Amino acid sequence: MTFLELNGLRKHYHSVRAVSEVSLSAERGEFISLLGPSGCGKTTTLQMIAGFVEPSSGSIWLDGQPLTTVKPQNRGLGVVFQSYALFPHMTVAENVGFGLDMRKIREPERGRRVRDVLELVQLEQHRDRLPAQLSGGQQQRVALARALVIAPPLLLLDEPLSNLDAKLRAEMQLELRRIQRSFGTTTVMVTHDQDEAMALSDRIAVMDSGRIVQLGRPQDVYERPATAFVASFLGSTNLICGQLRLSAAGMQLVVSDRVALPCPDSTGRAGETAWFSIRPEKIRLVGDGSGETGHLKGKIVMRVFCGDRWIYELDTDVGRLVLRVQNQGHPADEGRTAGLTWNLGDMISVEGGHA
Amino acid sequence: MMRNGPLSLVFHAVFVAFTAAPLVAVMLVSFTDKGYMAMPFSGASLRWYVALIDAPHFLDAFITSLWLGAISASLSLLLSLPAALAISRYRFVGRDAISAALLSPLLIPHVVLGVAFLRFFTDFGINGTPAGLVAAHALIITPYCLRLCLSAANSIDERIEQAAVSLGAKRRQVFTRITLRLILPGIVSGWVLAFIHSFDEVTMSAFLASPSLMPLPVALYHRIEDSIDPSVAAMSSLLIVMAVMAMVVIDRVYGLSRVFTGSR
Amino acid sequence: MHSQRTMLIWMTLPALLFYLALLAVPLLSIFLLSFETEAGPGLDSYRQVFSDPYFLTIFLRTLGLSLLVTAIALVLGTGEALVLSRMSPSWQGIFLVVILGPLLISVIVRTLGWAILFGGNGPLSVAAQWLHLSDGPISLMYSMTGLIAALVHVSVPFVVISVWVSLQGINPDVERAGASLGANGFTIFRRLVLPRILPGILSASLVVFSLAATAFATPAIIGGRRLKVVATAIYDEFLSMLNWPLGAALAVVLLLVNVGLFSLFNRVLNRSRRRATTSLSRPEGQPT
Repeated sequence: MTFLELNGLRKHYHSVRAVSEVSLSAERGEFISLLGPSGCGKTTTLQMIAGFVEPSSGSIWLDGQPLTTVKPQNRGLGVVFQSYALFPHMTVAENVGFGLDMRKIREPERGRRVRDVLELVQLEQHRDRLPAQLSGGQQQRVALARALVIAPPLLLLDEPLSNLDAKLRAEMQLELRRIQRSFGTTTVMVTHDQDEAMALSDRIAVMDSGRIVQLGRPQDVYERPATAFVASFLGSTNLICGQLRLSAAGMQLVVSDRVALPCPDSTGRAGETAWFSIRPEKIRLVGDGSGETGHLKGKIVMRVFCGDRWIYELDTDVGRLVLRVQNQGHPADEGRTAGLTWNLGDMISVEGGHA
Repeated sequence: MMRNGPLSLVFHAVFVAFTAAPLVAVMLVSFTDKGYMAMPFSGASLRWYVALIDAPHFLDAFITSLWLGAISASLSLLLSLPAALAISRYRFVGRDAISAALLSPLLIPHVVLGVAFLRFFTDFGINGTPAGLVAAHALIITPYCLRLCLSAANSIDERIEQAAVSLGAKRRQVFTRITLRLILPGIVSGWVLAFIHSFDEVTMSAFLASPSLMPLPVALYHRIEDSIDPSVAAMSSLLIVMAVMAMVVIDRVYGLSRVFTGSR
Repeated sequence: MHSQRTMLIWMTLPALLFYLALLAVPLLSIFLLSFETEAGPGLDSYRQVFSDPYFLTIFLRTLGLSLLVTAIALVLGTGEALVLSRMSPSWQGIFLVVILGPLLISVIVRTLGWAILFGGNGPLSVAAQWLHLSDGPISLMYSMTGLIAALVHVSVPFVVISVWVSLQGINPDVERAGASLGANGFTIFRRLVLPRILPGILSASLVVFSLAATAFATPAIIGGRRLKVVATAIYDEFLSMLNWPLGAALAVVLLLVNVGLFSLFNRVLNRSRRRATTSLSRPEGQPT
C-alpha cells in the first residue's frame, strides 16, 4: 500500500523551472533516495514535501491524507538539514527536547523519550554540551535524534552526510541505516553521492533537469541504466554509439567503417542509431593482441593502481575505454596491445547520450 | 615575506606610541598636585579627583550623559530592530532604498545636524529640552545600532528557523525561542555601541545644550576652551577607564573586531 | 501576501517616520534658512560665502588640511595594517584593540591629550629643550602641524580597520604562489596585494577626508580662533555672530560637498570593488 505519494509536483520560480514533473510513491518503511547533480531539483522536491516551498502545481499525500495544504509546522515530519541547523544556544538535550515542548509533552515522558533517542544515537554522555562543543559526526547524530524523537511518520534527509570526511561518512552510513531500520520510519533522502544512495536506499530515484529519469532498486538501476545520463552518473561507464545492422551472425553495432561489434538482439531496429553502456568491471583483457583479440583490440595508454584493483585506459577503434580489473598480481604493462572482451548481456542499451 | 622585519617593528612601536600618547598624557596629568596641566613626576596627588566631587558641575553633566545615552540608545533600538528584521528577512520593493535611507545620517556632518536641529527645535520651542536632545541623539546613533542588528539578523542560518518549524514551532515561538535568542548578542552590542556614540558626541550637542542641560563632552569642551585645569584631565581619565570597561563587555558579548569591522 | 506587506510596513514605518521628522524636515529648514535675508528670500548669504576672502581662506585651509590629514593617515594606517596582518593572531587581537579602542573614547578626551602634549610646558616642549632642539618653550597649540597630528590621530584607526579587513580577504597562499613564481616582496605587494586592498584604501580615504573636513572639536581646541575651519566658522556664525542665514549657507555648502564626495566615491568604489571581488563594509566610527 502506498504510504507517501508525490503527484505531478512542479515548481517554477518566475520562468525558471526548478522541478518540471515529479511523481513518486513510497511504501511504509521504505528508504528512498533522490539522487542527482546539483540543480536537478532534488532539494526543491524535498523542501516541497517539508512544506518550506509551495509547489506550483501537483499534490503530496501521506497515509491517504493530503499534505500540500498543511502548514509546515503542523506536518510533523522529521527533517535533517545538510548544515544540521542545530539550535546553537541550546544544549544537546534541549535541542532534542524542542519538538516535544512544541507538542506539550511533559515530564516524565519528555525526559524518557529524550534519553531513549540519545541512547540510540550514542550521545547520552554529551547531553549537556552545546552544539559548538561537538564534532561533525556528533552534531549529525544530534540532528537525527532531534528529528526522530517526535516519532515522525516520514523522515526527510537533505544531504545528511555531505559535511563529514570520507571515513566518518562510511561509518555514519551504516549507523543511519541501523537507526532508520530500528525506527522503521519511511525516509526520503536527497544526495548527490551515488555510493551513499546505493548503500542506504531501498530504491533510488535518479533525477536530472527537474524530473525523475529512473526509479528502481540500486542494483537494478546500476545494472540496467535507462539512459546514458543514469549510466554515467551512477557509477562510471563506457558509452559506445553506433548504427544497428542486421547481419548473418545477428545484430551488430557499426561504430565506424572498420568496427562492427556484436550486440544483443532486440535492442532496436536495423538502421537506427543506438547507445550502449558497458561498465568498466565487465570488460576483460584477453591475449596480447596478436592471437585472440576478443571483440576489440586496444592499446593500454595508462594504468592506475588502486590496491584491490587496477584501472586501465585503452585506446581502441571505438575511442577511449576504461577497464577495472581485480588485482591478481600480474598487471598488463602500459604501451601493450591487448584484446578486449565482454559478455553480450553486459552491453546495455541506453537512451540518448551526449555525442 | 610573511614576517615583520625590524624596521616594521620599529614603525609599529612608534605607531602604537602615537596612538597611546594623548591618552597616557591625560591620565598622567590627572594625578598632578599642581594647579595647572603638569606631569605628576614632581608631585602626585588625587586632589583633582576630589575636586570633581566637590564641584558637581562635571558630575551633573556625567549623569546627564548617562541618561541621555541610555534613553536615546533604547529609542534607537526600538526603531532599528524591527526595521533590521524586515530588511534582512524579506525581499521587497524599496528594500535597498530603505536601508540606505536609514544609514544616511552617517553621511551628514554633525555640525550641519547641530545647526539644523538648533533651528528646528527653536522653531518648536523645544531647544535645550531633554526631548529635543534625546530625539537628536537617537537619530545620529540609529545607523550604528541598525548596522549591528542587521549583521546579527543576516548571520542567522535560515535553516535553523526551518528546523524549528519542522518540529512544530509556530511563528511566534520561532521568533521568541530561536530568532531573538540568536540575535540577542547583536542587539546588546548595538545598544552599547549606540550608547557610546551618544555618550561621546560633542559637535552636534554643542549647539543643542543649555546650561541646565549639558552632556559631559560639551561641558568638557567649554571648560577646555575656557580655562584648562587638571580637573578636566581627571574627568577624562574616568571616561577612558569606562571606555576600556565597555570594550571588555562588548568583546565578551559579541567580539570587538566584529563590532569594529561591521560583520563576520 | 497581504498580511506580509502590512507587517513590513509596521516594521519599517516607525523608523522612516522618525527620520522624516528629524532628518528631512530639519535639513529642509536649514536649507530655507540659508536663503533668508532682511528683504525676503535671496542669495545674499551665498554671495558673501563665495566672495569674501575671509571665507575663501577658511575653505582653502579646510581643504588643504583635509588632504594632508588624509594622505598621512593613509600611509601610516596602511603600513600599520600590513604590519598587523603579519603578526600572530593573538598579537593581532591585542593590537587591534589598542589601535581601535580610542574610537570608543570621546574625541574631546583625545584632543585634550594633544593639548597637554603640545602645551608650552608639555612633555614635547620639555623634551625639545632638553635635547637642545629649542632654546625656550615651544608650543604646537594653534599651529597647523599640531592640528594635523591631532586629526591624524583621530582618523587613522579607520584606515587600519578598513585595510585590515580587506587584507583578511586575501588567501596567504596567494603571496606564497607569487613568491614561488619568482616575484620579489615589492612585486608581490604591488601586483597581488595592492589591487585587492585598493577598495579598502579608497573607502578609508573617503571616510578620513570627510572626517577631517567636517571635524569641529579638534580644530576648535587645537586650532582655536587663529586656525578657523568651516565647521568652527559655522559654530561662530550661529553662536557668536548670530548671523544664522550665513551660518546656514556655510552648512549647506559643507553638506553638499560631503554628500557629493560620498556619491562620487561610491561610484568609483563600486567599480574597483567589482574588480577586487572582495566584500567590504564601511568601518564604524563617529564623526568628530
